[in-house]
Amino acid sequence: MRGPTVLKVTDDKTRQLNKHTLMAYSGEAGDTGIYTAAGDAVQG
Amino acid sequence: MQFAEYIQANIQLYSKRNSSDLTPYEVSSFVRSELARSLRSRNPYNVNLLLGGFDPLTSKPQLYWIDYLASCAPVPYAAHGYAQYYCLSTLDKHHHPDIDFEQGMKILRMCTDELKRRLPIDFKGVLVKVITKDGIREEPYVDEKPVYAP
Repeated sequence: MRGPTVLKVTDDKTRQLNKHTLMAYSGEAGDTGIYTAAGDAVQG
Repeated sequence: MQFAEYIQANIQLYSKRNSSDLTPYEVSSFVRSELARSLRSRNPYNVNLLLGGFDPLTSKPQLYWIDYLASCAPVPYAAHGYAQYYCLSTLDKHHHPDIDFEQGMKILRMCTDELKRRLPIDFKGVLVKVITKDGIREEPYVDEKPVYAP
């Protein structure tokens, strides 16, 4: 479906914690690293 | 500082200091307690987490659902964000405790097909990561397969 909102194509919302553990996160933009408090996009 | 980065750094610090990794259950307890502490502070983190892991001692996979109110529950399958509204019904119907990897990928394909049909934003595809006993790898996934409306 096409819509007015477009997501970033390469967006990894996971973090590897140790060899066998992976954490996926979602939530408010400032807390999940999508945007910083200053409004700059971080983490490619 | 963002929450995921903070947790990642602390779990890595533990692994370095003790030359051994925390099991997924232990990691979930740590994450939950940190989130609970944050919840009772002046500026709490508003993050929902899915924590997946493989326990090398019991040779069992584990998945934990941790929400922004710091409740933690072990679950057999999960989805979060907007995707959960479209995926959980598919997972409810097709998940079975002893499915193999290929069947799991088939169910994932059913989920992404449903997202392509119904999600009211331009769905670009998924990033698939697989946790095995040998570690974590990225699984190649073809996003451009045609989707047929029923």
